[in-house]
Amino acid sequence: MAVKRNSKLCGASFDAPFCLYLFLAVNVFIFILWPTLAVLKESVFVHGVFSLEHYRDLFTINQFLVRNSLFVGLWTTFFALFIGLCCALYVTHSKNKGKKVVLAVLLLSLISPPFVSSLAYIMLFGRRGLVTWKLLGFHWSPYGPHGVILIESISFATIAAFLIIAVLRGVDRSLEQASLDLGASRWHTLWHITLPLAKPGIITAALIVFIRSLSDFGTPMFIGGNYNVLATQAYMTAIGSYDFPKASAISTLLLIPAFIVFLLYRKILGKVPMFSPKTASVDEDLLGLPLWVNCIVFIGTWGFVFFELMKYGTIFCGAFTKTWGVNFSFTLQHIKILKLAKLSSLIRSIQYSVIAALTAGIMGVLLAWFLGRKNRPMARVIDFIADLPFILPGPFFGIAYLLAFNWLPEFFLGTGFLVITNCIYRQLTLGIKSGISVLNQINTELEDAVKDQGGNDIYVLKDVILPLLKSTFLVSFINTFTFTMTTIGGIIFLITPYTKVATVEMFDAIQQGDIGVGSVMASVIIIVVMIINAAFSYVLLHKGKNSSKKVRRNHVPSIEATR
Amino acid sequence: MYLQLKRLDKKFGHLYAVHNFSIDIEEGELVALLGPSGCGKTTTLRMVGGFLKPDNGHIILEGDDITALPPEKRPTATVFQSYALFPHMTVLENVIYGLKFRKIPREKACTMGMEMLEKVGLPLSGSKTIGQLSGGEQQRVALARALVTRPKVLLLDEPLSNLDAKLRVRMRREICQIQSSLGITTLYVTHDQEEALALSHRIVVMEKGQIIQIGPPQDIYRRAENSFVADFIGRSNIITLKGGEKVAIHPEDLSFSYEKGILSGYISGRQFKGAITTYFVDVSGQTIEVDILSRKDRQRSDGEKVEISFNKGSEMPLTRD
Repeated sequence: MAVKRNSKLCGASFDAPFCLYLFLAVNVFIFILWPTLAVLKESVFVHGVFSLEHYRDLFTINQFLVRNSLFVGLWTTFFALFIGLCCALYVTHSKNKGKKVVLAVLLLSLISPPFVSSLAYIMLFGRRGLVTWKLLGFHWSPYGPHGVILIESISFATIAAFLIIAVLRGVDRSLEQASLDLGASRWHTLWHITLPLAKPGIITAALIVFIRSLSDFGTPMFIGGNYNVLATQAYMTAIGSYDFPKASAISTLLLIPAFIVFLLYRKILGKVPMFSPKTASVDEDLLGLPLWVNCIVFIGTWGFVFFELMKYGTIFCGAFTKTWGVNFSFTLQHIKILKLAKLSSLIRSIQYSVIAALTAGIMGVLLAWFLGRKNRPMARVIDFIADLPFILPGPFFGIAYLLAFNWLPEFFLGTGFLVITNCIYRQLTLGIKSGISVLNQINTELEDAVKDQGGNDIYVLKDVILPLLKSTFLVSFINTFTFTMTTIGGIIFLITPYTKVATVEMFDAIQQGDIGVGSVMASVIIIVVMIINAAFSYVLLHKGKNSSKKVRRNHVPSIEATR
Repeated sequence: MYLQLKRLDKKFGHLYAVHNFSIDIEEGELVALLGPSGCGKTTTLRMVGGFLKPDNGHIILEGDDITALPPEKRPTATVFQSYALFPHMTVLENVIYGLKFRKIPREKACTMGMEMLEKVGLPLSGSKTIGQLSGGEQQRVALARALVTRPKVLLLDEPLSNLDAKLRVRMRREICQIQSSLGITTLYVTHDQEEALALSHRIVVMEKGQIIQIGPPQDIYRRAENSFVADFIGRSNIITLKGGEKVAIHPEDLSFSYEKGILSGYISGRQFKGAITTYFVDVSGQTIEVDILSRKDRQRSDGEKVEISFNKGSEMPLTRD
């Protein structure tokens, strides 16, 4: 009897799935929680003694950094939200034509590497810019806070647009119809019904744009001129002067707003059907917008689209232009440089991205099952921790890895192990969330049916969970692939000469003023990411027979949250 | 006894979902668990299927205690309320799913699956996908999948609740026929009293996790022992007779009479229901329902004074109220 009970205990609680869960849980702790704590610890110890010196500096000598960051962040949030709302209303509520074009441009800018906008801005409006210098022939300085705000607003408008589109699509159209039916005007309906219902999404969008702006160091670095913000300072203290305690303190300061956002985000997003919008029929007759609102929306949207198209046009032209600003003749020389010297970085980028995407996809599906279905110990804690990196500023998470894993043997740094894990864990939560939302739509009786028929947990996983979460895997794969191909904020701290990736090459080229090579790099990254996204979207839309509609809806809002 | 449930208890939080549930079931018997939603009938079924562990009590099948067996080891098969058909597999793949765990070679499994599909009235639809099936067809596939493994006990969880009224009546008969032709011991959960009366050999009426009454359908209908059963199984009028005895009487057992009846009152409403017409009679503040065959209805008007009588023996003494 005693023996029997013993074996039952082992059989029930220490079976294969449980060990797998344990393994994943430990990994989440090691690669997310520990590095995060390492930064916090580093920031309050100066030469081994507890001290808040670095924080004090930030509010006294370096107070201007905080002020600058807030200034840029708030204005960026305002403008990005405005453009995002215009695009979202244009796509979901207006009767205007060209919605597909707007969506395509939004998607394109979503999958572009960062500071493509900065590069285009320099090429068009810089000291030797095409528009300002060549066409208009005047000298003005595009560098400074106004440039940073402009570029960040346009860059982050995309994510705001997708978040708002997601909630607007979730709004029950019959409520709007009821409002009109009861005699309210279109304006009244929009202002008192539609927008209040979309408020959680709009607030989330604002908060996410705000922390993105705070943690963006590329834009202020390239076009801020001597206008410094917290993020650029963090980058320069860490990479330039190897002052990690100070860099930690700065990035911890960035963490505070991010953490507030994070808590709100978990609270709000728990209620908003972010990843599984209600099946409100989108094909119904649209009500349209009031005329004057439609005018603003129209101008805002097409202004954005025009700027974006001009941006990509400029970059692609730049790839074939001899010396931008001086000699505008056609050349293949930059492409040759790519072939000769930079190709290995591109290939490495793709390798890293595929590894990260596969791992994140598999982990996402498994963790979604463990956390969403089974009452596993610590499930809530794991879920919380896995959510963290999504909202952590990139530089914070990069420095965190550097501090937590700097003792690792050269092998791990030289193989890009840290770069890959960094990307995996930043994207992991999206896979988990989308998996859980799919599982929530699946009746648990399906899993009971497997057991009823005689299959154990392994068969539940193999015959029900994996096939049904195929879409989750694909979404997670694309997200992580795109992210790893285009990210820089976190990984730039982890790059060694042996692990240079395409975005870092691009970063270096722009920094050295080599616009041609920068443009080529940017173009190639965009093309690779576009091909992969197109291919996977095709698979998602055309192969997932029964749930393709659901997946398409899930797919769009989940990529946007990537960066 | 073939299947014995002995003093089963299941608590959710502080509340008993099922309390002190005992029943002995014969081989080949079809027993319906009947009660309003939340009465613990599905919880009981899930304990028998192994999806929930009882806090107390035992489940004995053919003399073996199977209480601790996980669902995959139990010789029971369930038709789930949602059918739980695997959406990414074909009909045949669904049906033969369980056979691979019984080490039956695929060839043979396919033959068995086809036969079972024929038996449930779906020949030649093995290669269809689940999405191509109607609700009724999905129901049959779920039944076939449960039956093909030759379970010792078949568990049906509100299997007809997702079907429209007409189909429900047809499926009721088919389930009856299949069950008796296979002679399979069956537990059937439903909240539809008509369904329970029509199909089962015995009905277990449950309320708040406890058994209120067990008996063959006629007994349950004709000899309800308390007002809950009387009211839940069909409609009943609760009347206090002279001498203070409380009884329940079904509306169809009452009739209007010319001489002085057992009760008298005034018509307060009339509902035509097709074959029968229901009169609502106000008897000193209490509303009594009286069913009259519509053919014999004299179209009484509101406010008319009526005498009500019933045949001796059709009243049900509520001994357990």
